Amino acid sequence: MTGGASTHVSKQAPVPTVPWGGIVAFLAIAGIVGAGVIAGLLAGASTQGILTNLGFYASIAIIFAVLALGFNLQWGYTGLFNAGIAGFYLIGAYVAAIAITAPSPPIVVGGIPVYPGHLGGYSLPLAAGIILAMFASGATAAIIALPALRLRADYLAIATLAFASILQIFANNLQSVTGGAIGITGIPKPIAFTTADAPFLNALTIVGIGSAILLLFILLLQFMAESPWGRVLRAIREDEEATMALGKNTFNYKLQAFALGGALMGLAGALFAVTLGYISPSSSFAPSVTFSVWVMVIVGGSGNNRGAIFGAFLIYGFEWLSVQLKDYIPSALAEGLPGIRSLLIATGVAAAVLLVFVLFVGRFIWPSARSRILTTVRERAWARSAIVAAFVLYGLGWVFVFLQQYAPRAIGDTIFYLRLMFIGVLLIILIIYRPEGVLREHKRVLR
Amino acid sequence: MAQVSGSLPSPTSRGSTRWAALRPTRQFRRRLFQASIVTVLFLAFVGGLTVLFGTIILQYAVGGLVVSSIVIVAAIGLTVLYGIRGFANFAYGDLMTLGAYLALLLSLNGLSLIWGAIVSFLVLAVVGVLLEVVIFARLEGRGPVPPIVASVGVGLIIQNGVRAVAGTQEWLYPVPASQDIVLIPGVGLHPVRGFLTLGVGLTLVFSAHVLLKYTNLGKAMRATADNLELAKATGIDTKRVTYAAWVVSCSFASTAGVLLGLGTALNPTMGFDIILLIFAAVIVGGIGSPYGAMLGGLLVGLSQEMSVPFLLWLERPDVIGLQFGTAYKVAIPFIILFVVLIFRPWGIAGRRPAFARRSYFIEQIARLLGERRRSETPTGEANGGR
Repeated sequence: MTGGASTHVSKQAPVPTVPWGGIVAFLAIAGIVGAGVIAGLLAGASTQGILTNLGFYASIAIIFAVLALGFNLQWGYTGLFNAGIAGFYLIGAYVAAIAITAPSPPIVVGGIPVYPGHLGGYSLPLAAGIILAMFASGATAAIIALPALRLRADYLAIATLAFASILQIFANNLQSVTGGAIGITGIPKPIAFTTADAPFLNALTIVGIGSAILLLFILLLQFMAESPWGRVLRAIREDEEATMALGKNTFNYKLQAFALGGALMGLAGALFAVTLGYISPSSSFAPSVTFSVWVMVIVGGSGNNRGAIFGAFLIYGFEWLSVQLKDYIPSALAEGLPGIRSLLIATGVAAAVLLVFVLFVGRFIWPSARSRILTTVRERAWARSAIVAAFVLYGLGWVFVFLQQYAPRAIGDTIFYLRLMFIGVLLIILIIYRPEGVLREHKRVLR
Repeated sequence: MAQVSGSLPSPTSRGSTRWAALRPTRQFRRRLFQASIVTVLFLAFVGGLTVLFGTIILQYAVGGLVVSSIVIVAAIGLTVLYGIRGFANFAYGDLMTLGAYLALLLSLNGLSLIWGAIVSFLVLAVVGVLLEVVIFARLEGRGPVPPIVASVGVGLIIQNGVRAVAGTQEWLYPVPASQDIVLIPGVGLHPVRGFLTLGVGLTLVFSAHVLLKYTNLGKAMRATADNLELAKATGIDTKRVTYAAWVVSCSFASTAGVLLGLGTALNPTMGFDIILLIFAAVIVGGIGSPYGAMLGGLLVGLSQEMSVPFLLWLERPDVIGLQFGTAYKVAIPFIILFVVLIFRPWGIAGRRPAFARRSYFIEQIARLLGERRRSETPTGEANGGR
């Protein structure tokens, strides 16, 4: 602060601000984990089963966090909009799988080919597979970016989306390399456990390896983002022409950022292949993966690595929770339907009575409290949002009750699609009202 | 040029001016010349392929024309919106799906399919205006990426809403079964799936041409697409033009969706699966240019369908024995797209921007050539490319 501003502010003591974003983030993740554990307990799962499930959540969330870090480097820092995240993810997964699996010849049963086999069988160690995957994805990202980087953002989006869908076609049909629609199975785990609690130990090793890699890359990316290199990237995002005018070769910087982001996505693909033990081209690499990663970065806060990781844990948490609740909710709703309905009716009546009292009767009983409430509603954004949210929740409750009554199977069947619709709604609302996300980017002031 | 301008002010030669006004402009004559060259080249190409592969290639060409007519209708709708609102509408494919399913819903409830298509055309127009008012008007002036994100959100909502309501199974329009009409021996076309689609496509293309070229609204739309600020300054109500663009775009999406469903079957991802083909057509033709979209759609649709015999040839074990070769036909338009992005990113019919940045490859080639030239002339053209 210089000049006129310092005359008004006598002391430069920093005001301790409450980190609301961080608190919200922590509470949201804790809520998801808690809800998942409670759902598991209600379903009667063993402690180890619940822990395995939580380990699966953590490992996939870490994979999405790596994807989100890659996309954040591309979009959040440099402003390059990548719509083909699923494609780079797919390359990483297939390259790693081909590198580390044992040979798998075609299987023919009675003259009918059951499994076409796939390229590879090199049985390389996991680290080699990960490095190869990163290299392949990064190089592909650079090649894709070459024609599209000089153009407007939407050309890059379309080119990368086209590239991702071509890759999916190839993965589905180029049987001799990718194993066709069945994909690649039998991808070895990092450590082969043979005991009864192998799933739990496997999840634990993946979480260990994944969090080590994640930590390494957070530190690395944070260091790079704060370095002069990262400063040029942010300058390109804000104003590319001005950055060029300052003598920076923006094309090279953009190419580097895009290739690095692509390499991170390849790393995520390699981790995914190891985590699941098999890969197939159908759903794991669908365009919805790309859209989920967008939501993660936008929710968390683009241009903020912590935000990207929080977004990944939150949005994948919703998906995981919807799977957990999918088996539980319909039956619970069916059992508790009368109770839920009477609860909804009682809440509605109580709210209506409260509204009547505040608006009409309160004037005669307790005028000061009434006016205080009305002023709060009129002046505070959070109060208005709370009222809107309450209405929406109430309406959703009734929707579920009616769905359960008239189409009992609909909820169980459609919960997956409802989740994707929810992601769509979230994308629109966030991009309109809070494009900076929950954990917003730290504004830097040059002195 | 000089003759025309010289004859205009003289009042005596009134008759000749009347005819001079009807004479095609120089630009139009040049376009006509280019178009005839393209047509001749294309016919020679098809003729050559026919000699190579037999009349089966004509069947593929006719099928390609049908696909092209769908792609062209969709590409015009997409590019009109692209030109005026300045963003790539990733929800366009899903809007097509929505239109197709609306027509299906109405045709299952007693209406004929034609009335269903018309009602869906009108409903989608309203949906378009609503989308602009509720969502996209709030994102104006924030660059191309936020509207893309929001449109992906809209697409997710539509696609999964359709899945939740209509299920994931395939639906068929109630089309009367009939034999293909034989054009020449070996080449046939279904009366509904082929001729009707071609007819509707041509009608829509022609009406878009009339709208854009011969109405005040079309003029205003072209002006807005060309330069928004200048259009505002000349007093064009750009808000109204934007709504009109949404109406045209979404209603064309509905009809393209119905035609697409007519050709095959309806499923919730039918629109999303074809959106990239439409983007390819739009970019190949030149973003924001409806006439370019027509050309691009023709090129993309024909190349996709006519690559099938070639891919079948590749499938033969004595060539390279490619498995499922015909599945790669959808990759052909993207190869064209990438080639166009590398060498002519403003499209084959688009106007080259004054300060077009050269693509990386062209710049490298130019640098290689330029170094030799620079050694001859010391002053050189250091900034010639920009």
